[in-house]
Amino acid sequence: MRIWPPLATFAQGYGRKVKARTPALEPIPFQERLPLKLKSQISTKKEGSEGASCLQEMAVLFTCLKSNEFNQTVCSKEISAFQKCFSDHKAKREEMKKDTTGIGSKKLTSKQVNVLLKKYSR
Amino acid sequence: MSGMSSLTKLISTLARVSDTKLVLLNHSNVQIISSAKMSQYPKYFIDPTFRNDELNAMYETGEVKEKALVPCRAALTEHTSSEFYSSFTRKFINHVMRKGNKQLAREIVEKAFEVIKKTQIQKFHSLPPEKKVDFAIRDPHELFHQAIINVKPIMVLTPIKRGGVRYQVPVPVDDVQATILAYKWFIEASKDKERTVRFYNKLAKEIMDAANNTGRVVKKKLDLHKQCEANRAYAHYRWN
Repeated sequence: MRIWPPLATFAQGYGRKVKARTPALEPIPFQERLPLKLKSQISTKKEGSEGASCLQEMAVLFTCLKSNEFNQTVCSKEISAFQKCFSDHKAKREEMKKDTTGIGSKKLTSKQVNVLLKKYSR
Repeated sequence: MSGMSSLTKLISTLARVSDTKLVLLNHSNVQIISSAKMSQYPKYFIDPTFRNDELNAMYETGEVKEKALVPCRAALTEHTSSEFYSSFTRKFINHVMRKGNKQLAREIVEKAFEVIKKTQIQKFHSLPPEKKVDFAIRDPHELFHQAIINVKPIMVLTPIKRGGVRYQVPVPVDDVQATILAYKWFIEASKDKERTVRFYNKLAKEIMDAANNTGRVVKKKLDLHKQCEANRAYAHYRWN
């Protein structure tokens, strides 16, 4: 039977026959499996929740619709304001996405941090 | 460096002429992004111009000389310069199409428009002469356009998960996405019928109702808006 690393260390350290069913004996030796240093990049999965946009326009639109029984022709001004706000928000988001360096901004996104780390880490 | 100058020429032409966006990545690299996303063509290929009025305009402004130098995608069979072409309706025909049977989809939609026209003419002739002056027989394409405008939602509910619970949050919707939703609702409503009723008849009825701002599809949109209004509190919790 091939001796897996844990069993091998047990055999070396304690000098007694340890079966896999017995519980581990304290202290358990530390085994360095991954390198003990930080990576030069961070996870880009957690995007960080963006604040809700166009809430005021939405609220105004809702009040208008409620008072007019959801008749859209009456609320055309509010609707166009709401849609304009949304398209502006989308354009801003596109621009922020393209900004790879994030120079001058207080908060950096994870992608921007990665760019910097790649450039300056050794 | 003749190769370099031709590349810069291409880039400058594209920037001026087509829907491509140019993104400056570094000082030297320029990434050309076309509007189409998944395509067998390279991204810098432009869409064909096939309408006579657009072509004439291009000849007048002299834009045709520049566009002639840029590589162009092939025109699809639906890209005709015919009188009966409607850019608005062809998207709907694509949504009606199943299993790539474009011919059948086109037939259905055209039959539906025929039915719309016939019902209008019938209505017109059944009116007394003094009321005939006020009644206008509208082009079915135009009626369909109006129907879509009446049916497009302004905002939709998206499910957002917070703390293990799925909330329906009202969110603003893109114009294109709203149009696609409208198409879907029309098709759904036209499918929900008795066995003996034909799809194109039901579709014609739905379009005429929607153009009048009544009927089933408009009701669906109104219900969605009402639900959004009922859930407006969730939108305030910074979820967007």
